Amino acid sequence: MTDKRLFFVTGKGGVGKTLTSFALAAKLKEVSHKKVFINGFDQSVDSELAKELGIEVLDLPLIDSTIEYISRKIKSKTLANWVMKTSFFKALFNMVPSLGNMITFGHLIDLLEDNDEWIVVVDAPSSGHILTVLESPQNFKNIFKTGALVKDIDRMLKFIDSRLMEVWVLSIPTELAIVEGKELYDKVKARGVSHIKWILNNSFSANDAITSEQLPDFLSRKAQSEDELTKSTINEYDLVVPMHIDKNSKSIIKHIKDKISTILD
Amino acid sequence: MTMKEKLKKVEIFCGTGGVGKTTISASRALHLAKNHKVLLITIDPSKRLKQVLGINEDSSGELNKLSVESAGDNSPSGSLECLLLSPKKSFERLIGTENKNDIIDTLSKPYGGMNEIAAIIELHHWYTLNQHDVIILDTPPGHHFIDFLEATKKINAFFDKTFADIFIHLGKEEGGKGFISKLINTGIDKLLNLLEKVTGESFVGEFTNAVHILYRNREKFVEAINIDKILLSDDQSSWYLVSSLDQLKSKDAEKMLSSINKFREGDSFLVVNKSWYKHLKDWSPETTIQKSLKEKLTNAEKEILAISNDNNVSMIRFPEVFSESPTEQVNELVQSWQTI
Repeated sequence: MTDKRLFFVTGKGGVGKTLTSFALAAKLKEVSHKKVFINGFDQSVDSELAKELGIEVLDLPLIDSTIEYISRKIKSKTLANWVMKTSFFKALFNMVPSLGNMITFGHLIDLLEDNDEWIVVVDAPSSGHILTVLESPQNFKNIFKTGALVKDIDRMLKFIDSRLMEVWVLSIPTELAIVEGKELYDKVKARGVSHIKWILNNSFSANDAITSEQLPDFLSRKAQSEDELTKSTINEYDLVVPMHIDKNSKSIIKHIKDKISTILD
Repeated sequence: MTMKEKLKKVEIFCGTGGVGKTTISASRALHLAKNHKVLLITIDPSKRLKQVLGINEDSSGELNKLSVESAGDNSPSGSLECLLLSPKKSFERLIGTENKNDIIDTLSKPYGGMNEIAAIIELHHWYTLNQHDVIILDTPPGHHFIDFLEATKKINAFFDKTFADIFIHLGKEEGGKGFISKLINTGIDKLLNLLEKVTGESFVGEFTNAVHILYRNREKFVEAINIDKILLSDDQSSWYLVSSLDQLKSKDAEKMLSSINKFREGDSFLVVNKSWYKHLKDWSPETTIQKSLKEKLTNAEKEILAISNDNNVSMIRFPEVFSESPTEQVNELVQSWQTI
């Protein structure tokens, strides 16, 4: 059973982050006695799907997170509300999205430290943007230099590096997704994350039921080009998830869920 | 299709990422560059364009000239220049290099989160210089394509009158002292005191300094957001929403199309990359697995077509290119633009 408390599922747009996050949350719910949440970071989660799967949603709207954060620091909710209402701060948050990213990230870690029995799976922002999120604590540490916030940031950096956090980088078998996945893996590592898994999702050629069929030319070329693309990286993936022929989200989630149990540690 | 109409000065390519947006916009640039002077700007943080077009990342923030084959024998008029966006260089051009500030430096790093704003600054800069027939902008991927639509609003809000008044006289003053005293007079000192409790003293100093630098250059920022008029104008710009069939979720497409329609009226195109519709039409599956596979793939195509029809957006399909190298892919796509 896993001792991880925070999972970030990331990768390029369209690699299946959302369904994989749900699959991971559902699997964790099966194997762990802890309370499992799904969170969409700065996006909202499909709460209907979560309900159908019996997974709780942890929603952290930025303004609420910030008010909570500031009020904890200055020990007054009224003042915190007032600060956030000034047009200056509103504009500042819009102009500097990474500040909001850091606050959301910090809030997640706060909650996990306060609640031992929680596990949170984050359907995280895609490539480029996730690096902004992971880099934000260090960036703001450089900006703030000293003070209460820096202590918080140090706590965040420690959490990122600990056994409690794991990042899943997803790729699909297209050249750019593989190249970018590999690049992302290295960069996430360089941002201080120690536990990372690389997953090849939605692999057409890994579906034996399909590839044993007599396929038309364009589909056998697809299978063939996938094999060629993944040839040099195939041993580096922690898991390969075959493509699943089904339009139904729940059935795809179940399919992924059944595959991922081998890589939970 | 309306694409035969006159060339717009600005073409914006946006999309959900991982769909070949960079490749499609690069191919569009190469296609137009046969007969026109083209500038391609990319703000994709992963800088994949360098991979696709073989340009050097060290040159970010500067124009790279590319060799283009001309269309026909007697049209040497076209050219293509590429710009990898560097928020640092964009800000430096606006506020100069003499104003050193840690906050501005940190935030304008490639992953600092200021890409959309830097893109607006660059777009405005090159549009105003008027050295190109057309500027093609490859925007950042993801849900954050909406961020790009809102970038000008953000700049505007930051320099909004409600608190701009506090800073408005500061441009006339030298150094930071007058600035601080002005802040104290306006009651913002209370705010800063609170901030100091949370962030520490050195930050507040650096922060007021950053605001000071930005406000001294307020006019330049405010001028840059005039590009909004171009982005909204049907005469001046077209928008391409790029998606690919292997990754397009109809929900995303729906969201994208409705937000673009709210933002502007005028030419918008839904570009569907890696489309298989021609192949699928010709395929007669025999076994159950084959049939369900064809159904799955065909339904995906149908859903997208329905959404673009519902939103009054023309759809352009690019067939999947089975090729190893990104360069070959771009070349194949250039061919496709010609036939549209």
